[in-house]
Amino acid sequence: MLVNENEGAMILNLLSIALMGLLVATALMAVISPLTARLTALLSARAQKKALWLFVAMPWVVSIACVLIFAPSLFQVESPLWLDTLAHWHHPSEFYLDSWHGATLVLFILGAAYVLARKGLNAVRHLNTLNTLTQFSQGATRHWDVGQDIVVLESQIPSAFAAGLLRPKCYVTTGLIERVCETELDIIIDHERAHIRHKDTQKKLLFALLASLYPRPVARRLNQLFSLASELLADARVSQSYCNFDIAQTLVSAARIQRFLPGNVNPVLVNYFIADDVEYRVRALVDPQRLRAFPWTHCLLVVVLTTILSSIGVDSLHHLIEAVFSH
Amino acid sequence: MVLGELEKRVLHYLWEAPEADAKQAHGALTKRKGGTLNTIQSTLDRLFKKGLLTRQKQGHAYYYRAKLDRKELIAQLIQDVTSDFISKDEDSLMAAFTSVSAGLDDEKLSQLETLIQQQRHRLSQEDSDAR
Repeated sequence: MLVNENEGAMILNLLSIALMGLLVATALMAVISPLTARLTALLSARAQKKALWLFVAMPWVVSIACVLIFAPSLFQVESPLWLDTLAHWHHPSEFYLDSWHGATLVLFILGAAYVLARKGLNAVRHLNTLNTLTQFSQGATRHWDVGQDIVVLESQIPSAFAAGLLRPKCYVTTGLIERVCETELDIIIDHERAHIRHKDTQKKLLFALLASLYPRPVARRLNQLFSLASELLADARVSQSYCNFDIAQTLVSAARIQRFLPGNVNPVLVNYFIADDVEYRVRALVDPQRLRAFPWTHCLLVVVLTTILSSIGVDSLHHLIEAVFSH
Repeated sequence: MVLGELEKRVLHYLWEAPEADAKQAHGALTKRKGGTLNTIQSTLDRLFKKGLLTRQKQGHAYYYRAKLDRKELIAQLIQDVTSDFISKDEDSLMAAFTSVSAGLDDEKLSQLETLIQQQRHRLSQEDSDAR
């Protein structure tokens, strides 16, 4: 079925370009993703977070840039020859819904709707569970009185985490409170409060959503790196009030206690005090290295290069596919 | 695990009463807030299907007991809340990552403690030298 110019063929072509740009940029970024861990390790925690945000947002940024690059050829506006050679769309006023363009658009929309629905449903379940935990632990929270913003969970599992989306809270179990000294407990609670202040629970969800565009192993690694950067920043916040050595010692003590925690845990929406690379964090606290600030120039270069390569990729892919299929 | 408000109230009730059938639970739970026997019956059935209650038929009625006590359920919910956001195959891959932490054995933890002590000592020595 042909959609002509008046019926929005141009808009659908623009969406097609955006989608192809998104996919090509994702593929390019996925190829260079093994370097992210090494490169972010050279940066300060704050810069690591910025770099990771840029990494997950890059396909979307490039997608918009591709639309802008292809727009002159689509709207048949006069453009420099180099731009026309780099990227041109040879059927600007035609869009067949039953073509490969239509199929990829529909598949992407369905896929995105599925991911959003799944994450949304999980978020509702997550919030319900937190609400249930809070209700079942009201007695313990009143009894321990470690702070009005802290929910004390009556469980022997030694655990402390920050969780929740709309009004996140800190959760500490009686199993942990009973096993650590007062200073260690204060450090742990301050660490969780830092996650709340940094809005880490909400940011983790958004980051995981953006990362879900990447192949699963890449997304998993990106989430891990983001989580580690969040932990390092929370540690840095606590170090404004406590000595780095005390924080490091608390980490080791909590790791010893938490070795008895049954099963493994996943820290996607939850910021665990010791879930992420304990050794890395201890070394960062006791032997801080001189780390670099966010490398704006390098990152800008990567954005420009990825945009150019993606535009060439979109153009080449478009021609290659249409050598086989009709548009 | 998603629990509705009535389900939570039923669980609370069964943690205090050793066992109850639908009529007893209905009598105890709906005095203030109302609700039909059918609602309580289906709530008990849902909790049984979720594995939170056990039941035994005595005469014509089922008698329900809490399968997990409050602390056990809280422990299960803590586990749920920390692993809700991943599907099973991601979970198995995540285990490799968390094992980095879980894999910190006593020897490694002792090494880290020694490192902390050494660095603390070095810093205090540098401070006293500076004075």
